[in-house]
Amino acid sequence: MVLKTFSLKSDGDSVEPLLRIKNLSVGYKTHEGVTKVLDNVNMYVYRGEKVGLIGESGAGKTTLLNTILRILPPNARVFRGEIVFNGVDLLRAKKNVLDDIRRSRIGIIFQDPMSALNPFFKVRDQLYDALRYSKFLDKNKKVDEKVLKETSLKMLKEVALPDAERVLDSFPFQLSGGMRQRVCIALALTRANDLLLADEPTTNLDVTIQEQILNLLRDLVNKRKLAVILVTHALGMLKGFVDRIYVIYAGQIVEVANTNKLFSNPQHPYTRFLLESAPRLTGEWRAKELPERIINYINPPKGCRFSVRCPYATDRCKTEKPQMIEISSGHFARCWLLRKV
Amino acid sequence: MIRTDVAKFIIKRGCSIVFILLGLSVLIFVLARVLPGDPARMAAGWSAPDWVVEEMRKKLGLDKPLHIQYIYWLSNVLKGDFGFSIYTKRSVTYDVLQYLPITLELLIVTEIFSILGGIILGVIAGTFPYKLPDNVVRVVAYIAISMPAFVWAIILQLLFARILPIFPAGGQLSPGVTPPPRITGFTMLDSLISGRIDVFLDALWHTILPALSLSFGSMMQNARILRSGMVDIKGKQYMLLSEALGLPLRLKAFKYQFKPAAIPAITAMAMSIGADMSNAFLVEVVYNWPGFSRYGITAMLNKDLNAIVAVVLVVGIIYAIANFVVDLIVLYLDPRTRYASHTT
Amino acid sequence: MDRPSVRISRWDLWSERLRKWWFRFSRSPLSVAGFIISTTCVMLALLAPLIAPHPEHAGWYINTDEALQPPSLKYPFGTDQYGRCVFSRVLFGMRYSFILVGVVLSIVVPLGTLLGLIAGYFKNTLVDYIIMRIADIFVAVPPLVMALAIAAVLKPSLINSMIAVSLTWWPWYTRLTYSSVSSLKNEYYVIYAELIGERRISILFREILPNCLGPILTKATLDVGWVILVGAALSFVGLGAQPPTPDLGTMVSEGAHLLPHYWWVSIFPAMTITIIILGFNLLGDGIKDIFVEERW
Repeated sequence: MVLKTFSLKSDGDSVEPLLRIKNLSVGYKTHEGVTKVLDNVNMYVYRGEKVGLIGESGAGKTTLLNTILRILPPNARVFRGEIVFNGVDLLRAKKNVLDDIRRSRIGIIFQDPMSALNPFFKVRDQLYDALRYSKFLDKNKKVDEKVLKETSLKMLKEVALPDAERVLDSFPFQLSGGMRQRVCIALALTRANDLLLADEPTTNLDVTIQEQILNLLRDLVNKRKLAVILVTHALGMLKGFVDRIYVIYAGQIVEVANTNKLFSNPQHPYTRFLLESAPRLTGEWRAKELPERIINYINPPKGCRFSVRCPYATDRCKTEKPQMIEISSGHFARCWLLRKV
Repeated sequence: MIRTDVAKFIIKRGCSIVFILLGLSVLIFVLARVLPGDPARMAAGWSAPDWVVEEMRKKLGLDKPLHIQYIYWLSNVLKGDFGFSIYTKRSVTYDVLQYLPITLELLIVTEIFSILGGIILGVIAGTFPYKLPDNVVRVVAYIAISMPAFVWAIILQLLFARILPIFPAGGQLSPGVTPPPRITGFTMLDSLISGRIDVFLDALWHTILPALSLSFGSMMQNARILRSGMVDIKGKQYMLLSEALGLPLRLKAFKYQFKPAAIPAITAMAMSIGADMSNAFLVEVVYNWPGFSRYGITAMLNKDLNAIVAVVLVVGIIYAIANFVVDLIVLYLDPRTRYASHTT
Repeated sequence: MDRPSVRISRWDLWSERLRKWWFRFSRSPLSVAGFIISTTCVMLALLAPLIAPHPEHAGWYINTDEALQPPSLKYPFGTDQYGRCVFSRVLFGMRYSFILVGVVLSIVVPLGTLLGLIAGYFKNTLVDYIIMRIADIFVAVPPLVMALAIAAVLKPSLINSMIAVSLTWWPWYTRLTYSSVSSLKNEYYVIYAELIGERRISILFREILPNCLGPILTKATLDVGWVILVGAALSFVGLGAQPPTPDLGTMVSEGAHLLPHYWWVSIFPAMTITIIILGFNLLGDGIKDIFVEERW
């Protein structure tokens, strides 16, 4: 199954994407068997492009991000696939190449700022160590404490942390959730010169802070012209932030389109359900009832994984995996019920 | 300056220790007087005529009610007098002061082995979980822990003192070596202070085998706990972040993984000190080590009640102090407790 | 949408649970090895009178002609200074060790756990205070020392060493259960049960206790090894079972002065103690793994 590489550049030249995930299948070995979480995932991100990844809890979003940086737990299994970043296959790269990329190319922000920072060390220690092994400072040269401090303060100010000096001197548990997440963003930015991976960065924060952090992220990303993969389970977050959205269900990409096209013309039943579930200003509740089903990753359905819940599912849906169909330029969806436009 | 909550902890703990030790003294006193049958007869000798036994009973104050006996005994103890040993025919206090430093010397060397060895092996195993170094350490640890200290003592003595005569088979000093003048009571320390390096080296040489026998079990136990702590930490989110940041291995393992894991390990070390203290009772017998524990065993075999009570109390005091010190260290090291009052 | 009704029988629930436990347990070959070793030791101890080649040697027996024979086909572990078959004595020694453990743990585990349940549930009341302070006093001294002291004031015998070890051991279960119960007490399902008006005893035994069982079971398994160790230590110094009873610790100490030439008299009992402890340590760790969600 080949996804046509469609360039977003209007001049028709096909530019190589910054990140290209090809046919990625990942699972975990558990006491009940081997789960097959990600199933033939294909994704690409261009330089400077902002991509959103939306799906519900357990759909495999975090697994996907963790696989890119290869920080999966030992019981994870990458069954097949390629993750090509700047010409390097991250899945098969040697450790020093991978570390190089981790230190200076790709940064990640985790979902829970409470557990992301080591509680036994001050922010200063963690930030300094991160800086020492990044592209900011040449690690072969003797690094001056003053330089580290200046750079750290600069970074903390960039993420809009007031009283940066005090933050540096604090332990993570002395900071609030929002402040911690800003520190994590600063840490990620020391690395993300090309690509930023954001795994639900605001989900665990207070509602009042969420928008602040989101705006901060947007400004920083735009300023640096970074490519971003923003993972979330809330659609609203993506509008006004990302250029393109991938919809994932149970480890399968079911739809991908430009943000506007996705919101105005959703094709896949799951995407439509997502959009309709969002409460509107009119106060109407237009959501259709979808029965809740927990996905069994150990014995997933042979066909479309959404068929278990889909109200329109046919027998063919349950047994045969649908192919990606091009709805319009750059808009693809995977469902037997759709016809080519 | 000590913070108020730390001061409160110290005071509370101090009171608790005093209370517990008092309770312990009551317990062991009652056991020693009530259970053995007739201490007066034991002191007088099995074949002594009855009137001798009665005299002995009066002399030892055993004709008075139990709580009066206890009060007498306690007031003596607080003055430092543990009573009279029917075996050595000396004051028990004198015996304790004589023998305790010898055992403490052995314990200090043992703990050095146990803690250093435990840290090194634990960190190595914890950095590469389920790989070769970890598996080797775990298998060796199981065997070392399962083998009781006295079995270790016998085997080490067999291998390295009798079959391969590298180390001495027992005692603290070789026959013919005069002990150093008694300044602190610690043989090795005294010999250093008085400039007798030869005695120091001789004592050290004698200490190696007993210390190794005592320390293998607790060394491996410390290593296991540190290793499992490190493996636990490895699964935590902030370690994932260290990996995602591309930090080098030595930084991740020895700094960011070790510190959170060290704290429960240090608590475990307090228990290992307790285990070593108890195993010393057996190991000193095997190596004929002239220490406090061997004195204790002799007292126990001879029903020397005053000595038994004294030994138990002294062990209780040392154990309580060791636990207290360890808890203070943990309080200091864990930033969450240390800086608790400074939260925003 | 049709909803298939699922009825889960108790049998299904338990067989699923046991399967899960066995999977977690058998993940580690060491745990399975421990299981095999421990069951073999218990079997040998149970069948000692039948397996031992010379069962009459496990008591008063002197035959100086056959004394101090090295291991051979007739005497697999050799003979000791009285001409007794070391192998037979070791088998019977295992028997006594397991009898000791059996008696001690069957008293200590229920009693200690019960006290801990009560103290933990009625936390911060007088009952809690009394029970836990008494436990603290017994724990003030390391267990081996306590057992030695108690055995020292009693007449040395197997029964008295059981008493000594039991008195020493009960507080550890009380403390363990106490800490489990203290934290579980605030779980929602307990609070709801109290609100409904469930009887206290019922809450203790049906809601709280089953959730404490993991650490208790683990500790009990590991304790088999440790109690045997303490028992052997007591007899090694002479405060436990007396000769001619074939206790493993006594045998080690009796044979100690025959080293290194007649090594088999001491080494075989010593190794037996080690192997029993090893088996139960491995088993206990495997049981611990069942109840702990190990992510890495």
